[in-house]
Amino acid sequence: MKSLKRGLAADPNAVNISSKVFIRSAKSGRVQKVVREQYLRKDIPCSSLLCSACASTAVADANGVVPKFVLSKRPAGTKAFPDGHYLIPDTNVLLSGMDLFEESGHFHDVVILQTVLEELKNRSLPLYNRLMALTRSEDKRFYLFFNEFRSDTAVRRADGESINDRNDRSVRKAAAWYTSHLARVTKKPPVIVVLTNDQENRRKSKKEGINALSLRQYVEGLDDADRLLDMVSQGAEGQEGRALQGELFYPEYYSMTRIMTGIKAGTLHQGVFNVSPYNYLEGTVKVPAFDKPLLVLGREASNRSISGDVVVVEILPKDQWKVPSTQILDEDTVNQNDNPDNEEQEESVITENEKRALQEDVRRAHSAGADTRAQPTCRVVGIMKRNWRQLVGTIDNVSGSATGNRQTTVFLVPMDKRIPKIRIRTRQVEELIGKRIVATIDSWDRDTRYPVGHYIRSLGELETKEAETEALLLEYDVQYRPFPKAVLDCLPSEGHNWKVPTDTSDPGWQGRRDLRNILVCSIDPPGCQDIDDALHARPLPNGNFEVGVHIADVSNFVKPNNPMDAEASSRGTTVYLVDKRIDMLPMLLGTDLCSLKPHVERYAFSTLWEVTPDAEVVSASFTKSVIRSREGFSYEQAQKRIDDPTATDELTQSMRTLLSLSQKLRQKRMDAGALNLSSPEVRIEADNESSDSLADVKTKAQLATNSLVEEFMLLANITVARKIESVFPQTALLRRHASPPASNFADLSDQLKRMRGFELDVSSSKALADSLDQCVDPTHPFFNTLIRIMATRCMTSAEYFCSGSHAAPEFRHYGLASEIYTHFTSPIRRYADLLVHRQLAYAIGYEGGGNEIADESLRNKGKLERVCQNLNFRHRNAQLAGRASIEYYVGQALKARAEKTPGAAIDVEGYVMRVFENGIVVFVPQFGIEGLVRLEDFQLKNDEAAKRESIFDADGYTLTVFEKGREQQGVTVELFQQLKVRVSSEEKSGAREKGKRRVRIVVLSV
Amino acid sequence: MPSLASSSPFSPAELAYLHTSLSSVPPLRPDARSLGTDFRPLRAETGVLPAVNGSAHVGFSDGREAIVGVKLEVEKTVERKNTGLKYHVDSAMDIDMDEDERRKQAMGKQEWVTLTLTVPGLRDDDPNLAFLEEMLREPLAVPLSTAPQSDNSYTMSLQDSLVINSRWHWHVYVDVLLISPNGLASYPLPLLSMAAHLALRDTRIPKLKSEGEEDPVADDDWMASTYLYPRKVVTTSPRPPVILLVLVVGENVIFDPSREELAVADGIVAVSIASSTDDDKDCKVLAVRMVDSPARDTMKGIPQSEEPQKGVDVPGVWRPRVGGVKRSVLKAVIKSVVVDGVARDVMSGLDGFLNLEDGADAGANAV
Repeated sequence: MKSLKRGLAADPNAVNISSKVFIRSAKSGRVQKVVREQYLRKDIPCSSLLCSACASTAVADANGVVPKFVLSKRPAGTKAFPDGHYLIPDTNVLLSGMDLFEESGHFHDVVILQTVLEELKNRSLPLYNRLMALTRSEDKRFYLFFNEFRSDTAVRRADGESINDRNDRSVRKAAAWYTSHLARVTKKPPVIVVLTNDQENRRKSKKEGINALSLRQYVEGLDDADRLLDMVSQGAEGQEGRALQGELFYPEYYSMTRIMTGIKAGTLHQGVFNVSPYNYLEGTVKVPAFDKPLLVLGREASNRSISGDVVVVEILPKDQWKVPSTQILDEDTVNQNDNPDNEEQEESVITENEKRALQEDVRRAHSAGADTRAQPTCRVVGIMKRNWRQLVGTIDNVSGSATGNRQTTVFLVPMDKRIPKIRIRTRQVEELIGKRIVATIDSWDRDTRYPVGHYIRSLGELETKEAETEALLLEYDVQYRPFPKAVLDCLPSEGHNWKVPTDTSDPGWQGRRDLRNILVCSIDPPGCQDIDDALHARPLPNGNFEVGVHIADVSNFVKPNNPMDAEASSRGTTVYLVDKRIDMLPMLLGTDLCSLKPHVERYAFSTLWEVTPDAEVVSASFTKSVIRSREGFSYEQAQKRIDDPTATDELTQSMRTLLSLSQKLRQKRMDAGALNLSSPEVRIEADNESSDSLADVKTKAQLATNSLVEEFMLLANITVARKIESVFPQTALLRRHASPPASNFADLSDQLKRMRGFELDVSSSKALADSLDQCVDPTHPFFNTLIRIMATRCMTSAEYFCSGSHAAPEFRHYGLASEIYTHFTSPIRRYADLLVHRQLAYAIGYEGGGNEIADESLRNKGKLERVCQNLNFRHRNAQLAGRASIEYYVGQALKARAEKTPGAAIDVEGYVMRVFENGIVVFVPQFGIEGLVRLEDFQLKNDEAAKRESIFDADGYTLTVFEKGREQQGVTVELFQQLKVRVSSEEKSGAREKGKRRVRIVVLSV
Repeated sequence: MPSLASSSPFSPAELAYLHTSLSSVPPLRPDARSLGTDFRPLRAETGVLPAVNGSAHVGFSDGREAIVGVKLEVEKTVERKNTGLKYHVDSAMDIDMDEDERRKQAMGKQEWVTLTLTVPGLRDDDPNLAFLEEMLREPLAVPLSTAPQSDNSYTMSLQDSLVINSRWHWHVYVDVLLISPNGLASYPLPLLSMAAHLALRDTRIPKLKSEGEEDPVADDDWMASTYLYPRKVVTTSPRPPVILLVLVVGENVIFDPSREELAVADGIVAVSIASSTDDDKDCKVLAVRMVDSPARDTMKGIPQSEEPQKGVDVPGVWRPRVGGVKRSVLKAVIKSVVVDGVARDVMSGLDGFLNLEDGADAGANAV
């Protein structure tokens, strides 16, 4: 009998084969043993420029290129290793100190072992991606060494050896090999330093004669140690033997398996944890099983989850259900010592069946709506995914007393109110106070009340424009770094001199229609540089009109899958701040080559309709084209031109045609039930900083020409959406707006009914539009807008999606009352439009300029879904960043005004949007801001500076504020009430408010 | 079981010679084994297939080989509705309820053990194949303790150890491949059962991270898995059963019969043995099954001198075997298996092999 066993000593190939055995538990419940064989090689280079041996054996890759050797000939030395050194970090060091490795001044010549990289990938995907970016950066000199595949460094797991021990051993083996290997090829080899925070590993290394240091020990030997030491994660120290201290503040999480079972059985729910902006102790979790989000009340119930985390929650028994809090709670104002979550909940033991019954109750409570006010509450029992990011904040200067160069613990208070304070340890307290600081959260254990994090870098002084803008961009994760060289290399080499080729036999003209003779014009906001769209209309012999919408042909310049495409895809959208624009595409394209500037020939992607004078669309066609815009109007200019009776030229006539058609289109849309929504938008014209900048704050004016452009863009988007959906039934990139569940409107509906007696019919968008039209208060013209703003907030947000991921009826755009919708008209500033352009180009059989390679990625549903997800995320953030920017600007403007003319108060109209037990939220239309008004900020008659008290009527939505014992002198405010308020920008004592220039609103006595 | 041999390769004269020598006391075996209880040497190795939970490769010295792979899969337990039908317990026995309940719950089902046999050249619905599969499977899944035992030494049968919780269990798939020039005609039962035995003892169950009633999720570390049949061998620890093929010729009881010996058997008995749960006995008999002897289907011999007479036995002349085995002979078979310790020897031999194998593995890893 011949043995069938592999890997016996008798087998001559045994030394070249290694294998990896592990068990995979699939979601379906399958448990599978997986065996991976690894074939060991001898030609994987050490990649040190010192080594000639490896250089001669290194093999070429598939392209026939031998990879360049990375590790420097003359690596940097430190105090301990004056002759230079190469670093080999282990996984934990990378997990805790990635920020350090990204430092540009230190951490060069690093060998990343495959063992370490794989382990890191399993533990944290974001860190893995950051590390991969480092290995690609040329000046950092990080070398990815495939130690598991090199026969000298491959390590077979011994019997009874834990995986961690095995991995540690393989790090040591690689270090030992590097040491001996380099000693053989050079006389004075650099020292190989293993970085590990594991004491046992360091002990073993010492025994084996390998230099091993903890991250802290290593950093202490560097020049800039103080600053760098702050960046060593707190967790790293924790590993050095901090026993769990006595008091445990938080309950333990359930085991992962218990969570999975619970989710499958439907007794536990998964969702994203969101903290209320008004009350930091109240969070909500939206779970797929129920219409309305579940409440999470108190620190203990939220159990170390931070806003944005994907958490698993368990419904609490019915007697613990609560009415959502009517209090405004701010972490700053709540005294740290009296812990508001002291209402210890007794862990009651409930059986599975009872838990299931509880799910029913939730449904009932949700459907019952306003009748029973108590809402189902839940508690967090596990975290599926931490969405911790870098946070911007300030040091709470009371928490740490600076004592020289010693390490002190301080609280970092994030700008984002929903995130708790973070404990960080620093040696540079004095420098950090009064600065905007970027930090990250490392961990949150059961025995610390607040999460533990570490300092990353300082953005600069508070309230300086640079620091605040950068803080804002960081907060909303906007990529604002200049475009890398690889991206700029994708631009046309002619630069600004690029022109539409004059010769129509040029490949650029292939498949393009020449529309240069048509009178096209663009209408945009004043000063617009990135002109996406232009229009024309001309009469046809049969009495109908030809209407054309011409969109910048960005896809002609941005080819799929090149670095520029990748960059645009990850940026997703252009972000508009008050004084800054963060472009999605490089300037050259956005403001010049693509931009449909007047009097210049440009490539365009045109949608042409034949329309009857009653605005009925007869037919539509699409074509790539070349146009020459005759004029670039601003809305006002266009309006003037149309209104000017003396202007009778062809261009003006065509604009008049467009206007009348657009009005008919609009009416049709409204009849179909499109919503006229409102958001509190203001425009800021920030051209001249010297003048009274407050005057620049303007509410957006709505001209007829605005809606002219809007209507045709909507029409173009809808027409294109139909076309690409028919060609790509599974992978068309569309945009939808889901119908909001009726329960979303329950509160608003109740408020309207009680306060004003209006009925809100939410059965369809048409019904809603009609009932919103009814909500008019003749004395307060703004009332209707206020209601629209509040109604908008009850709705879900529109999202991009891939047509295959929803059923056709779900494509509907609720707000626009359209069956199908997409974005086509702004490819310069939105990546979605660019993709839609490519899909449309394919759909119409356009074959010019490298379009053929687009096919594969246009049909890849998985990829498209990932892109959609990113686009939705980027769009939301861009919106939020824009709003935050305006808010900041308004604050600064108010401050500037106050400094210039100290006495002059700014008294404006405000409207009550929400009423709490201890304050109200007031909306100020003039500045588009809303703000909290606390009891102290009510101006009372005969103010005696006594303690304020209030009577809150939750059903009547009224709040009466008075000084203690003087009820008669009180002020009563109610929901929707119009108030006179005084707006000022005031620096508050709380660290959180600082620099953000929260606007303070004072209610004047009525 | 029907005879598996299509035709015997031996002439009546050869058969008569073999039969005469085997029925002498002590038996004269054609391969010169001195005793009826002597076994031929065999070769075996475990862990030959990397991707399964347990495997074995066994080769007999006559060239036949068997390869067995064992796979475990997680499966949902179908709720049994008849668990409500519990025998009446009066209040005096209430104290034992918990124990009984636990035991009841820990009972696995026979269907959780699947065994398939592959013989090259045979259809997988061949009746002989199906019969052989069931013969191999049945002793594996026999409930060892059908009645609650008086003492606490409760040993579990294979399927009982497959229970994860009330909703989940492991399903064992034993896949057996026979490599033999004669196919089923070589009476491969002992070879297959021994290979299956070793493969099952090589089988590891992934360690579960989940606890209690949770859905099973395994620890991804293969090394953390545990043996399906615990390796720490105590005499009473459960082991998979082994089937021995015993030959009866005249009054003689012969183990591990060779091909020549099988050809002249008066009767063939398949005895399934398992390690006993009692301390005082090493092994116990699970099943005894008669197998048709190929000697039934042979041509009869014709005496040289005279006309053959009906019903008259001429010594030295071959006569196809008819009828069964005497009760006393069957008793002798069982006696030699259980009392004389053949079963114990076989089991300890297999134990010894596994210990050796363990040692070799440790040695290989140390290199």
